[in-house]
Amino acid sequence: MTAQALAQVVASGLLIGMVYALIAAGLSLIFGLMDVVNFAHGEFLMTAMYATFGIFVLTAIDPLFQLPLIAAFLFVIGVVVYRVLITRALSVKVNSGMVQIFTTFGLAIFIRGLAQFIWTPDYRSIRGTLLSDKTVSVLGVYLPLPQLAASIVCVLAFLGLYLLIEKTDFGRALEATREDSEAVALIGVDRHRIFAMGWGIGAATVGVAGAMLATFYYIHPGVGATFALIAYVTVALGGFGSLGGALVAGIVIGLVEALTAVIIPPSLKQLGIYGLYLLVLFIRPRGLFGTL
Amino acid sequence: MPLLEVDRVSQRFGGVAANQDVSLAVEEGEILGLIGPNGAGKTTLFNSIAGTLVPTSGRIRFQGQDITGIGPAACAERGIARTFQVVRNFETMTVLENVMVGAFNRTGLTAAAKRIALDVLEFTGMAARRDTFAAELTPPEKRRLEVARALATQPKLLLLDEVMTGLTPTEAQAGVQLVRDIRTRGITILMVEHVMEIVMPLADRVVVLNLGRVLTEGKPQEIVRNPDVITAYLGEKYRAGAAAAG
Amino acid sequence: MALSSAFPAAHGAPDAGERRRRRQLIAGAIVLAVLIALPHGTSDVYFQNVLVLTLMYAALSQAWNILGGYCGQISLGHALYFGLGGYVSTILFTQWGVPPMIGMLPGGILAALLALLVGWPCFRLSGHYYAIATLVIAETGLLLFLNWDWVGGALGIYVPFKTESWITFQFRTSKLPYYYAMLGFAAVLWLVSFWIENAKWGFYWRAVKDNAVAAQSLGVRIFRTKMAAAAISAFFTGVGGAFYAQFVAYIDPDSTMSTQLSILIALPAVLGGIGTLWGPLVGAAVLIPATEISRSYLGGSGSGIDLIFYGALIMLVATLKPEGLSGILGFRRRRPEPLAREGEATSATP
Repeated sequence: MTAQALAQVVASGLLIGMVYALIAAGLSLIFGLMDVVNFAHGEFLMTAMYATFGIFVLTAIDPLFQLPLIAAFLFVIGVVVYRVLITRALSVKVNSGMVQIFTTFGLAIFIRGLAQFIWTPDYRSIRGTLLSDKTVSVLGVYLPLPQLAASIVCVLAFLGLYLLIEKTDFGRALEATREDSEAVALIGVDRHRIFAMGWGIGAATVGVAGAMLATFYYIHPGVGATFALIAYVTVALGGFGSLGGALVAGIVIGLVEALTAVIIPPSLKQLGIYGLYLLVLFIRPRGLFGTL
Repeated sequence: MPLLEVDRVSQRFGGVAANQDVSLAVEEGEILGLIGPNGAGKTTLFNSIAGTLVPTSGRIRFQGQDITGIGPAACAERGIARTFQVVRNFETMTVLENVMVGAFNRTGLTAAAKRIALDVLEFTGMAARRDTFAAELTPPEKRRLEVARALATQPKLLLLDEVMTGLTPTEAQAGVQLVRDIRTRGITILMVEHVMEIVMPLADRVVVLNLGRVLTEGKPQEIVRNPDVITAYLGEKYRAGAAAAG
Repeated sequence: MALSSAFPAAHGAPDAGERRRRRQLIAGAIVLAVLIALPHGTSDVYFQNVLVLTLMYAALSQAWNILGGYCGQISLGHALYFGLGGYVSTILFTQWGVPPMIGMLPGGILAALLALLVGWPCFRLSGHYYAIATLVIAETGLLLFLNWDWVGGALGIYVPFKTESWITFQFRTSKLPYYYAMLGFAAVLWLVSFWIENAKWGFYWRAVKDNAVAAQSLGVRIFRTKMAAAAISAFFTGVGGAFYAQFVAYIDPDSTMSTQLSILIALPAVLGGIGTLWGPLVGAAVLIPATEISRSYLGGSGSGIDLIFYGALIMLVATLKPEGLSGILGFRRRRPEPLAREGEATSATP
């Protein structure tokens, strides 16, 4: 293929990679904080996508302007899920391994069923936003504006996340709770509050990703499962609990997926990233930047 | 040939040397006490022998064979059993089942494991409690279960990690008797202990650790009079008094 | 006063464990007798169908329970083994005429080997790593089979009718032989669980779940015991797939390798009581008829109501009643709650 076409593929891989990175960041944040895998992470994304769609259809507010609303909405969902479900799951002493996994896994199934019930399995898409169907040409490569905007928003969100964790008191409390959740109680930090905030922020980040994703990706009840798998693979590659790892891995996964579609039939393009996952699993289970 | 040989074992954690150049030997059939003030490196050494820690340098030999770093399960298979300082019973299993887990170390058959377990329970005086869940035992009973479970693996060397801590004098006396009974059965014992009144009458020999190194070793009567040992435990000002009394 | 043995060791008298096992065996025999007689009470084909499926899911869930319940490693992609077993058996039958009664063995074995491959990197890591890996790998398998023309791709394989016999496991005149085959399968799985509970592995798995560090110090090789559980579990799941392919005379990736199916395999055990002998059967007996009946009334799975139901059920059981239904019904033995372990995070079992 021509250099031009290759550049096109690489570009689109990079753009979607940023979205993958942000989705993975939310998952990694929660895991790093309390050693819990949120198996409903994909369904949080799906909820954000449907919410964006619904609001757009009803009020014609462009997804870009919906962002604060969607982020807040998902934040609340994250906190509620923590307070109602996760606290109960963590306090169970019998079969604790099963309980942790199945609590969020059950939630995922539940939310998916709810979406299917409310919206039917039909594929939905958002048309006619500010940026729809527009492209910009950079060095001969065509970048669709929705994808470009999504990528930029995700980079900014990542930056925001980084600043939040590194530069604010809350971020320091988060880090401290991560290291020793029992000790922080001694210095007056309410770890339940930190955990709840962690869930809220983790959900909000995936909400931002979802709102942007909705502008160019089909919305249907199975979309959560699709992106959840990508998220698991990304976090596995980057390392559970590492935000920097999520960033690097997201970009790598985006590229690998795009390039795989060139080499093998597009219906099989996921095999590239699944193969990468298996490689990571066998060779370096803790991923690039993770600790085990 | 000694049953267990610790050959210049050092253990570093980052910048901290928990054990430095520790060498000792345990002869078959003896009760060896391992003592020392807090932070001496007893637990680290203990865990190295038990296979939980891999020494940074040095070797550990059991029955002449190098067992450095083979891991706790392999150690158990070779005949080294241990107890835990903070009791680690299998809470959802009964006393009998707990001990059977140990017994399965030597057999694959449930019936055989049960026979071994019942024998051990009788030996340690827990036969009456065999159907009680471990979670419902009293603390001294839990300690005893730890020992029984380790015994069921049919070890040649039993490592006891501060088994007498927190027992009343009566309970401790029973514990001492049990240790003697275990030795009579032909099992060699290495015990880490804080309680001097226990170790001194019980042990044949004592090794004293201090600051990660072996300070001295010898018979209990010699150790208690050793000025260096007294200094290590009590500080310099008691040193002269000890020399005079000895 | 020394705690010396003042009581002679009662080696002869059965202990609590033995008595419990005798009770279980008697109960098992009674249940079996009832189940043998059951289909004669009805000639309704639909009802017989539900019974066959209930028994199949009971068996599959019992197999899943060996790894997920006793051993504590949650697999969310068990359908892969089911589908693999079904495909191997079906391809051997349609391409080379190997009767499924024989073909189910290589099906099971291949599934077991795959499970070992999955377990090998994962069993050294904590439980949720394994759960994620099973999800990804099942999805990979599904994707491969959907695009693999030799096995029919998305269209699957129709199993042609050759002869009505037990060896080909095909029956036209009645569903009853399928029922008894499934009953036999479920009974075998129950017996396997019953035996394992009292065998070395059963003890080792429980020990690892209670306190892995202590178990290791007693000679338990954790990795090996997990691998054993995975292989046994996957083997029987694969065999079940072979049975199923003959029962419906058709196999395709979406119906035999989907996440939906993986959920249905795990759910009876979770609902009925994970890690117990009766859990999977009780769970299947409640769940499968309810699923089938609701499907007829509420329409196909397009509505999403079944997912809402499953999801809610899973969350309720996980957070409110993790011992499952059989705990309420008093089947399982009284077990004390494990004490919260000092200093350890309550993360998934290692």
